[in-house]
Amino acid sequence: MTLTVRLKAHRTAAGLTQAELAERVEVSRKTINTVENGVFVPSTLLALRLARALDTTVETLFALPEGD
Amino acid sequence: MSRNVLSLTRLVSNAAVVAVLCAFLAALAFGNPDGRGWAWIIGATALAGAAAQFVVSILRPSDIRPSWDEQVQASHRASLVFGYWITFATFLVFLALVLADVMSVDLAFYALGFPLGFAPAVWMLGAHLAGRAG
Repeated sequence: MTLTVRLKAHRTAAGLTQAELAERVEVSRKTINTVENGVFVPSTLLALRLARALDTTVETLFALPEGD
Repeated sequence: MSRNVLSLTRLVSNAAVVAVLCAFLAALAFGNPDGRGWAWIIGATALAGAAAQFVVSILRPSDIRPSWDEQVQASHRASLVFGYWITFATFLVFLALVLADVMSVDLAFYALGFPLGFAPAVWMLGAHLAGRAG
């Protein structure tokens, strides 16, 4: 099952670099990169931290594809 | 390239272990190397890498969490699983060699340390290079 990831759009809208977002949620920049590219699916905990750091909700950042 | 010094230290440590073990394999292929001497070299390299990571963790505690985030932990778990299966496969090969009197039990025991140390380091090195380990 694939995951629709809108993290990059929200991060850039917030004016943050990958490194800055990584520092806020205490992960490596590479982890932000792989999450944005859909290579790594984050845990619920990390998804919640990302949403909090971007002042949004998890459902806004991550969604199931239409029909799933 | 990561700016996290602990991640860089781990990368260098894994690369050093893999390089030394590759050198040992080359020595095996081209001659009859001193196994005891190589054991010291391999062990010292692995211990030096572990010590370096410990020291960096003490000096730069803020690097620890990003360096061991959940993606790195997932890669680390995968490296241990990989190491298990490689070692198990090697054990079966060595078992056959021992039963066929091609290899001594003592040598098989010591040689099993090779895949045990080599496989996880190779996996982690690959994960580093693929951007999956900090």
